[in-house]
Amino acid sequence: MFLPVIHNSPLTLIRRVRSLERNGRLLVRMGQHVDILDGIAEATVNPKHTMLDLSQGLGLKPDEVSQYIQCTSGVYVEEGDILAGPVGTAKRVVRAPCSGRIVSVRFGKILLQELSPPLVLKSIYPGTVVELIEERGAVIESCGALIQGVWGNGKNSVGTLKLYDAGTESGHPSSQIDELDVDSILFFDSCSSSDMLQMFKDKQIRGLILGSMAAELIYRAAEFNFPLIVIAGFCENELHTQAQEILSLHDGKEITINAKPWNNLTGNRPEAFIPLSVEGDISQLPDQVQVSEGLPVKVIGGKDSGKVGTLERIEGLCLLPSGLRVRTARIRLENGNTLSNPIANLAVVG
Amino acid sequence: MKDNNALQSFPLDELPPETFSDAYSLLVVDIGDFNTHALLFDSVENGYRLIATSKIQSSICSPDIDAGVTFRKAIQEIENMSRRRLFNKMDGIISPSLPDGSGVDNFIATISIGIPLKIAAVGLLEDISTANAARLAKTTYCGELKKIGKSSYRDNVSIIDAISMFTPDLIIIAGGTEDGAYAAVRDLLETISMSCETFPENNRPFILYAGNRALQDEIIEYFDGVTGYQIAPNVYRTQTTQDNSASNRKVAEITTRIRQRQIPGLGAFMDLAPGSVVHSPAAYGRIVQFLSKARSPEKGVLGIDINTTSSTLTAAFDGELTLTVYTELGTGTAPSQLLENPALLEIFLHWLPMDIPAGYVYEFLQNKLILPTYTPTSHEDLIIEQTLIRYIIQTAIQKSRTALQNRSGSGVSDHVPFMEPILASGEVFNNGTTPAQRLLMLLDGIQPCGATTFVLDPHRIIPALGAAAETNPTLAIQVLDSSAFTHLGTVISPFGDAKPDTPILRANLVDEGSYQSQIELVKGDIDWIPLEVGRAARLQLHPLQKVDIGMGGPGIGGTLLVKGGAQGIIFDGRGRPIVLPEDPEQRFAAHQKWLRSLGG
Repeated sequence: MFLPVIHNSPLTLIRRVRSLERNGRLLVRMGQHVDILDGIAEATVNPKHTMLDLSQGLGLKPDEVSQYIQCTSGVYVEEGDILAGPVGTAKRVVRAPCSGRIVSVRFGKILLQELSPPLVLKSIYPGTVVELIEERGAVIESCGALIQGVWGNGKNSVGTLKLYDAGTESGHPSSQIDELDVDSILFFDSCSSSDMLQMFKDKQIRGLILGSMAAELIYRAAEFNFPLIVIAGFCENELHTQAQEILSLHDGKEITINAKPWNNLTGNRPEAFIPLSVEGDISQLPDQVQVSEGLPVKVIGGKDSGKVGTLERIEGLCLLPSGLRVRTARIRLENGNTLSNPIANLAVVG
Repeated sequence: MKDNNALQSFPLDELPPETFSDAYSLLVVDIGDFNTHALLFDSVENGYRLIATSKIQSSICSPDIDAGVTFRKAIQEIENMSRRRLFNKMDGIISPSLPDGSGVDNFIATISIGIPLKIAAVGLLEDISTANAARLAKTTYCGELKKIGKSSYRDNVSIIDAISMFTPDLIIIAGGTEDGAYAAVRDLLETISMSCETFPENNRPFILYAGNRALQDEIIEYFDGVTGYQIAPNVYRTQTTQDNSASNRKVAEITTRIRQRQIPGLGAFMDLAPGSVVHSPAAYGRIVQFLSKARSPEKGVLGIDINTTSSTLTAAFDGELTLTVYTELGTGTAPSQLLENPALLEIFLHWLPMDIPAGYVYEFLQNKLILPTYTPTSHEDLIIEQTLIRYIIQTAIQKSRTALQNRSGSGVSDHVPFMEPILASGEVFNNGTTPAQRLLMLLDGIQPCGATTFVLDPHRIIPALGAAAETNPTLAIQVLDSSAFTHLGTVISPFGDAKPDTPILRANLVDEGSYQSQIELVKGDIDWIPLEVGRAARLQLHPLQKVDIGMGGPGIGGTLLVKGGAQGIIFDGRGRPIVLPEDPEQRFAAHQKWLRSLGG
């Protein structure tokens, strides 16, 4: 049986796909080093097309136009370029009405995709291009500290990491946030009130990393225009010591926050990444690992949600308070206590 | 007298003789959202039996980024369990089987991974052909649907812009009656063909043409060399004749090809079983259709298959199939819908049978998104999980109600048409809940009318049987008749106007040994008579107050031949639709009473 891995690693190798949702133009080549704000690919967000009817334009029957076509699909043309013709003594031609790319030349027609300001997909991860995805994007390989969470609102950003002390939750953090922090990615222990969440929204920060957040706030957090990730979970007092320790080493450094939603199938996790320069080989961590004794694990859900410990022993079928009989594992917690929990409700942390 | 024996007495003698071919062993591998199952069937003592099953977690993330690795592991586990060699030295499947007992005669794979597809439904008129294409789109894992009616767009370029922006995986083109609309459909085909070229060559949408049949021969001119395409019967025609099977099959074939593109390693695996990779919902539909052909045309057959990233609702009336895949109604996807929609969450909370704080419910649903296979540890967790399954079934039924009523010819009403049997598949029915809890989830979710039987398929064998049925119907029938399924029992659900707490039905059960049991069902209650699994009996029914039990109209009773199941014979007197008390205390009490009535 495999368990999903939630990475909290001070140094690891990652490979991340940066890809457009629609086809566009690649801006990088294999092996190229990219910085966080470098473009990987660009595409027209709302592609507009123009259809040119050659039969009409050249004054010919549809089956007569093919010999007069002067362009092929895939080529870029400038406004005014001749696409078909000349025909007859009047030298009738069809010209490109705008700059663009020829998409299709068939049925006596030319389909031209107009050039317009493209959307540039930023790398957001500094590193090396190790794979190209045709007309869509690239895979970036990078080294650094990685902290993955359990929930993200789908946005991404880069900024400077600013940590706030634990215990902020008891008082309103508004006064603590410096005006200079508006361009920062902030870390707070927890957020349990909509007032506090609203304050973050009003401050127009670059991003937010929360140790835990009240589940009722998901609606509102999902609508933020900056990325927000929740590291530990939705219970109060969810532990995120390891993540906090790693983040505290990098206060003030540049950080990438990619709040892509959790997806078990693809291994996507909401995450924060601090790029680091290292020498020597570093291995890539898997997105899931075979369950085995000695693994650092975290309990997801239930009364023990958020507890972290070491998988001490794989037990047989056990009867749960719910009445279900499932395979469980004995976990030794950091404080020395032990607990039994269904294997299916564990994630590996580390 | 009516025979009401569900799958337990499938009419083998009604099948044509050619279906009884030589016995073949069969290996089926189903790659699902979170688990990949392998099932080995073989003939044992003149009958097919399920010999071994294995379950491996599915994953397309590292370290097993190759789906073929997952398949291989699942088959290797079958090898170990059955002590039967299945792989040859070249790592291929040994087929046909060898005299030394190694290998299998048939090897089939089903794919039930529910990665949502983006589908454009294109037609001439928004309300007719586009709507028909959209219905066809819902027979597969359609996550985003864009309806494009030619009449609603300014010109062809606007259609190209829309398709280019939407970036569909599949475009379903409908339009034109069999004898009309040539020019308009040709123009549409030309537009769609050119729009495909706005995408990179290796990532163009597949095309399914389901329009005017007279133009089918011309499709090659528009799409050959541009992108992959298939031709299905005209959906306009099938909408009239109510036969969607061929169109559904084409959608299934294309889905399999798209999955090959999406899932690393799947293509290489498909080479192991060329032509034998089947889309799971289509395979499920085949069994439902198959059963309905052999049963009374007065009733339909209903199947619901609940997975983590989708649920499939299938119904067939006299062989005519209705199939809808709901990607938003998986146990791992429905929580997202609930968390993002307060109105839906309110309905969900209304069906909770005990007082659980909303914050805890939020947390549970959120954790279910993180770990869709999350196991309920506390009683509260289990209750929320069961409410989630109720919600999924209720919503699927609600969304399919019109289609079901159209198919059954019962006209528009608040009730689900008469169905028997009702099949329920999914690992959610295999998580240790009691038969009473499982039955109550299904009764609350489906709210069937009249007499029916419930059959559980907790190991999801039905899609595998559907895949096998194409080449080996005998196997499908014999396994359906086996203990691989849980027969929950026969349910009688009277409906119609009656005062609360007044008698609505008298029933008399006479079993094989002439023992009698009698019951008087009161409006608002659930009751049951025990009857051992497989034991036959006659059930005499006398409706009171002119309630309808599906035996010919209000107040009409009769006698049914029934067989026992895990819950015996059940009488659901709560009426249709079930109306829950507004007062939370009364509502919780009612839920508890109903569960107690079934034995807890």
